[in-house]
Amino acid sequence: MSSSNSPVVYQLGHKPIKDHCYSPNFDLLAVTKDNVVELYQTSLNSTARPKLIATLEGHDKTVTSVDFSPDGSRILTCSQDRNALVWEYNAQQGQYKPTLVLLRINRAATVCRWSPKGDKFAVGSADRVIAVCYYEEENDWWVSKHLKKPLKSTITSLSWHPNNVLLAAGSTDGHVRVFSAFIKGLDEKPEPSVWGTKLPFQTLVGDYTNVSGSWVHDVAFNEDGEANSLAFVSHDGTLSIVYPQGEGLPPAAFVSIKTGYLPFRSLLFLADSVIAGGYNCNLIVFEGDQNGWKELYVVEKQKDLIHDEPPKDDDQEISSHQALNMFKQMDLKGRVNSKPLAGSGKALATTHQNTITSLRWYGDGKVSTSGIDGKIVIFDL
Amino acid sequence: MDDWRRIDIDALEPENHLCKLDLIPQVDPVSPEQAQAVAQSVKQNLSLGKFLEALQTALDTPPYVSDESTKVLHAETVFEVLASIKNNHNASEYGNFVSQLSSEQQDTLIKYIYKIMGMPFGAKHGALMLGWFEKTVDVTGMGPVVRFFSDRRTV
Repeated sequence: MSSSNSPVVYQLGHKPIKDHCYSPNFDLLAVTKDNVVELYQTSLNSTARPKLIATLEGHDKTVTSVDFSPDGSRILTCSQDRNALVWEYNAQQGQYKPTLVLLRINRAATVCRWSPKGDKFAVGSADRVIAVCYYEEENDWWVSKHLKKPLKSTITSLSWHPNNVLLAAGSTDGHVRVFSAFIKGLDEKPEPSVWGTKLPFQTLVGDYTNVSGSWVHDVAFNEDGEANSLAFVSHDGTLSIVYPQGEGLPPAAFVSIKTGYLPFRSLLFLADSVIAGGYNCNLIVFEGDQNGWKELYVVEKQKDLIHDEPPKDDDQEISSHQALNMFKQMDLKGRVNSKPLAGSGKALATTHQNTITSLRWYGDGKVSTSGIDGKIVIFDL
Repeated sequence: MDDWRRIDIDALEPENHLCKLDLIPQVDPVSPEQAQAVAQSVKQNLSLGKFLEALQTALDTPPYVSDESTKVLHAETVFEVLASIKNNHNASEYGNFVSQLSSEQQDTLIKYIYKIMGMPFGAKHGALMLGWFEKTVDVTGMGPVVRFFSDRRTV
């Protein structure tokens, strides 16, 4: 069931990539790296290594998130230095220039996402607030309104509803909350939906939690256009999908499936399928509806860590037995055996050699991933 | 001010914290008497040779919200079941027991195996606990271990 085409891999150095984003036409790729964001020139389905064309330097701590505006003209970044910046290309100077965002937060900014129309954006933070930001022309800066109650923990993830008003946020207290981020004078009144009818700013239209109370790593509205369902992944290795019924009513369905994998860090939700990846360094595809969800397939062959059976085709992973022998050697002789053990390559069987940090849609229904191993990979599922 | 990074900014807005009370799981508290009653019925099942029932009863009633002595009491009950299954069965049969448990019960079993291994009486029976651990993850995979580490409903 796995893909026939092998994935396209870009090894962009060896520093961890926390987040990545393509421009809408896939000719620019932005990746976070330490305190900067690197901007690469590439093209759709190109197998050549992307060319570094600019380094966005403006943050003085780790950049945690990056996002292209829907029209591709602006790049949004946020960082642990408590700031967010909006970058635009200045043709006269031939470089990208940042615009300040007045976030008014006292702790790290953890995640940032443009709204679907691109006229505002949200920044989640460890300061227990979500800053919803919009442009103020008089002063040439971005101002923010805070979503505060009832948040009491770090925001880990954000997802916008296509109506440009509703915003879902996952946090470390195990909750996913759906807020109205309606900005007066900017937004038009949204059409009534299962999420609610009257939606002034800060209205909490949904609050869901996993049973274990563990961190929510990522949340996503269904991208089928209706967005009448919401999916999230938690640190207890579960995937949950909520189907709200209407204002003031309990959800029509709340499906939660436990998996046997290490927790997922990021997910994509389209119609009746979810793609998730994370600490297991692999992608898993799920399928289902209100009546239930199930795992459809694992994208890459992976070694079974419990049963310690080497994969049949090519054994690249080091087994616990080999590791034990290696340490015995080190203990006895005080050095590592100079001859490489047979088949003891330390590589994982998956393309990503470390945690997958973010998943994004790529062209032609493909998926791009970034990882702590410094790789950007494009999978054709 | 030189050391502004050291200011305790949380002290400025005490009401916005997640406090310990917020993290207590939303499940019914279990009293010592209830845990005692479970222990009794488990013992009864064991004496009748109903090992699976005993295991299921013990794993269905973990005291997530209660004092430490009740939690220890229940851990001892679970340990008793595991030990008496061992005394009456071959280690290769553990897998049968585990596969007859619900997913929730399997998660709870792993939580108790970890807990018991960390207690003095469990440490004395390392081989027994590791045997159970091996056979359990053999059936369940890594999921329950991940949930043991992340679940706020501790045993």
